[in-house]
Amino acid sequence: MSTGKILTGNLLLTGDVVFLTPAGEWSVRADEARFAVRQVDIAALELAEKEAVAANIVVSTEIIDAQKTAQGVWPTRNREQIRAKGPTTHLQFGHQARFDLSAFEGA
Amino acid sequence: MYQYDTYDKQAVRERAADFRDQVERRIAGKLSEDEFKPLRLQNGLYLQLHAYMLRVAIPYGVLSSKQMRKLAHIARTYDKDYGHFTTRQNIQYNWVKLADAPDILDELASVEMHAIQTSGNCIRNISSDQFAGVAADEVEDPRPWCELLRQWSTFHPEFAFLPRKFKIAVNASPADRVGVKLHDIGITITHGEDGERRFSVYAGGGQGRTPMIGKLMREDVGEAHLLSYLEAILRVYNRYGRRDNKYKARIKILVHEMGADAFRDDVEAEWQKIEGGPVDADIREFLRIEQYFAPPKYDADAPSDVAQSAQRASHDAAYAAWLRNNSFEHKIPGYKAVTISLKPHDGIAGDATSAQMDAVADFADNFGFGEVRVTHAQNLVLPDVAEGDLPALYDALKAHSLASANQGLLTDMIVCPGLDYCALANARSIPISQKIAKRFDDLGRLEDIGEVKLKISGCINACGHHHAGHIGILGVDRKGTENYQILLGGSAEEDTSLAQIIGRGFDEDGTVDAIETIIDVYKDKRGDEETFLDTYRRIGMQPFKEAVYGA
Repeated sequence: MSTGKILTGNLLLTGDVVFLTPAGEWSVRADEARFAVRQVDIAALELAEKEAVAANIVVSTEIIDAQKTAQGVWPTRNREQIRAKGPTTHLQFGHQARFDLSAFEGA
Repeated sequence: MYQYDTYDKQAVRERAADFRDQVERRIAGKLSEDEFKPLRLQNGLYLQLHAYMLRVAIPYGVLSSKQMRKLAHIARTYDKDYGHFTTRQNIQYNWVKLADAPDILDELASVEMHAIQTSGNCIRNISSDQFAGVAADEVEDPRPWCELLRQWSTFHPEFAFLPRKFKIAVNASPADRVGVKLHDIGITITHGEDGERRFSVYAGGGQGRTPMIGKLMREDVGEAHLLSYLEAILRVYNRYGRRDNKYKARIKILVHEMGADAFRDDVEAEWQKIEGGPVDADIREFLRIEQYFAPPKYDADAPSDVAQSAQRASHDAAYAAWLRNNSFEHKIPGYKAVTISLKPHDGIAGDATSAQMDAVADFADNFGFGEVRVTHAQNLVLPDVAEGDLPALYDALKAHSLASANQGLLTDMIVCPGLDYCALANARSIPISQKIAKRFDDLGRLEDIGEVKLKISGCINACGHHHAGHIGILGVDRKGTENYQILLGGSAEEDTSLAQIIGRGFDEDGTVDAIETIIDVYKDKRGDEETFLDTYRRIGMQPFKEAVYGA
């Protein structure tokens, strides 16, 4: 397992939780997030964050801690894991309702 | 209930139109998020963890059946088919899309509702007794005064940018059902021996990270001068309240730092300048408002129809328990106010589906006079049910999973949305409430335990009122793990007290075990007729602490 950073935010129009992908797009799946370990890659995330905010695509952006395991990239903190899946009290809502995210521990 | 005049209607419609324009400009990129955020917050639109959340104002918790049906319609059409009733007697929708928000405000305006001042550093929704107008013990109906305060505080230009948010509650009974001393301003209406109406005004109470009990400012404010006295308090707060640190910006900090006497003196000086001036409402305006709250046409024969309920209770234990716990003494013989518990054992405190909201609206029409109340404990109330209708109402509620008989008991918890929804939370609140409900899922056991107010917050902001719980639970983040502190001895009632932390925190399961241990101590130590709070106050923290942590 390695630790690093990913960029997340909420889509302006829907409020959906999204993550920046390696292709520079926004995905609702945290496991598709662009994973930055080196300082230079984290700096690139910061630039992408500024551009995305300026372009009015996402709001409430944040570069958050993440880890990369055999299953893929996943946020580290409990709060961010809940954002990535959806409320633990309403499993029928949030991204967990659309995708099988059960491989990812936490939340 | 109050009905909008042409000014109200125009103001709400114009506000909705303004917001539509602001949203369009935001989506078109003509407003930045920094520019737009305060505008959306002024219309109750937050961005939470998973989506936008819209908080809709329910003035002093009073709804018509028509408004309730509209809330159901909004849940069904624009959200995920449910809404969440809050401790401020409001409703929140958790999955709103930005582009839909203006349409929702238009829908609300069509039934004389809005989301104005449900966020921001302004005077928020006035809260009151859920039994206002029907409680047998009240000195008068507080709702006309709440409505007067709503009109005074809505769009008040001087108080649109206070140092911090500001919450006012009004109570008119010897029993405090609103938490008078835990509000920025709490008001109790009394009638003197001379028959004159007086307002006792408390200021500087609140919960949050620095809980404080409000201080009595005056107990003799006359009816003609209530608004100028409140205005004077707000002016002193607006002038001296801290704006450099949001955690020290509430009025409670100012009153505490200045001292209640010095603060009161400043208020008096300010009041002298404005008392009797244009701020004070013309009493004819109050009388105009009061007409809207005239009692409905109660059935004079209702008392002759009570045998049916007693008969049902004699052979149906579940009905008898519901009747015992969820009905409240009405000022009119032959009637009861009924609490509809939004705390089913496998549910989420305060949540109601659109079907349940529609059903409650129907019950309000069929078993009352078309009115519903929202309680600060996240339940609903039908204020005027003829006792003869109680068995039929119970059956109808049961069919919609709304007949939990736990009002006032341990599983009637106040629970904030917590980390499952809230961007500020540090820990989840709802799952722990569900585990506690599961552990105490026997109504007989709950009734044996008796009245316990259990209140859960997922962070120090205390939306779940944990400081005021007989038992409070505060969720914290301890090195990335959810941890729960337990507090004992709080009360938001006339004997207001702040709960104290028992000791180090627990994980989720450990918390449920500790709650059970605490209840066992109470059952072991309680005297005749002693409630949990009585026993705690008599024996103190130590016996509970020893049982939970070992001697």
